[in-house]
Amino acid sequence: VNGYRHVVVGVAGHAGTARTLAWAMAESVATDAQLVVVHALDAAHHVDRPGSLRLLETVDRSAAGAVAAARRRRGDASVRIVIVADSAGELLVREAGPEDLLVIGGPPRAGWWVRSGTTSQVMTMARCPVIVVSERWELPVHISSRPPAEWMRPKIAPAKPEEP
Amino acid sequence: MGAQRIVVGVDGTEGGRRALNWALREASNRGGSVRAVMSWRWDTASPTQSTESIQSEAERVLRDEIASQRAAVPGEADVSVAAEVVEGRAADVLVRAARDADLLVLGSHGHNRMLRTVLGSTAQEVVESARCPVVVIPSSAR
Repeated sequence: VNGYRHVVVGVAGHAGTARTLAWAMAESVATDAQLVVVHALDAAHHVDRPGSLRLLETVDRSAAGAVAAARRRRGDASVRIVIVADSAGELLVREAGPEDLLVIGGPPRAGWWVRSGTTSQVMTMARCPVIVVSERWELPVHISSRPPAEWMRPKIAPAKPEEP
Repeated sequence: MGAQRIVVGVDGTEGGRRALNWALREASNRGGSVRAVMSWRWDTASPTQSTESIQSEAERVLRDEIASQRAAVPGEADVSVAAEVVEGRAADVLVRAARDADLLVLGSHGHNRMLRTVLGSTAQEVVESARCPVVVIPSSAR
């Protein structure tokens, strides 16, 4: 059975990230694995609190909203945040162990030129299966670009008013 | 995530076997189906071989690979597996086969400094062209 200890996902603060994160979140729910959200900053940044939701809000507001919703529903331990000033490829490879699943976005396109440096590095060096989610992929109905619906529901349903 | 249509590239190598094994496990676990695809090309075949013999040899290899990996996966009886041998460039064949798939699975060929060479230009090209998520199974994966 393809069960995983962690689903490690790389986010980068651009539009394609939401698609990658949605896929990873759905997979972490399906396999009951902890979700690890990884964002690499360039070396000029000094990171005081590398795993804080507040820092994620400053670098990727959309991802931070999804993580907050996931934690409300599944508990704080269900999602771990890693924000480090490092090369994105090296950071992702380091964070994902042999028992994990690594989810990354497809190589970004600039006109006809495909810049595949990080994608190639991760696919070649990873110790676990790597899922590359293309930006051209259409989200199926069972995966929303927002967090899975069950994460958005309140933990305790409001009591129904009694019948008169 | 519901029943998945999984296309997997099989090429007779260890990487292809790992990819097929992963695809069968995923389909068994999620209730999906697997379409195992092998490609061949004129320029890699022996000049003495006929089209029919290349095709039938590839079909035999693919059948054997499926049988051996099915034996290794618990619950394989529930997994529907289709086999397909197609003439053409591997990347083109796989991208076309995965047009309506939920996942496309490939094996990589190990670690090396020469990333593109070792990952395989096929895997690289598939990742850049496929419309569905692509799973790359590294040499060290379970």
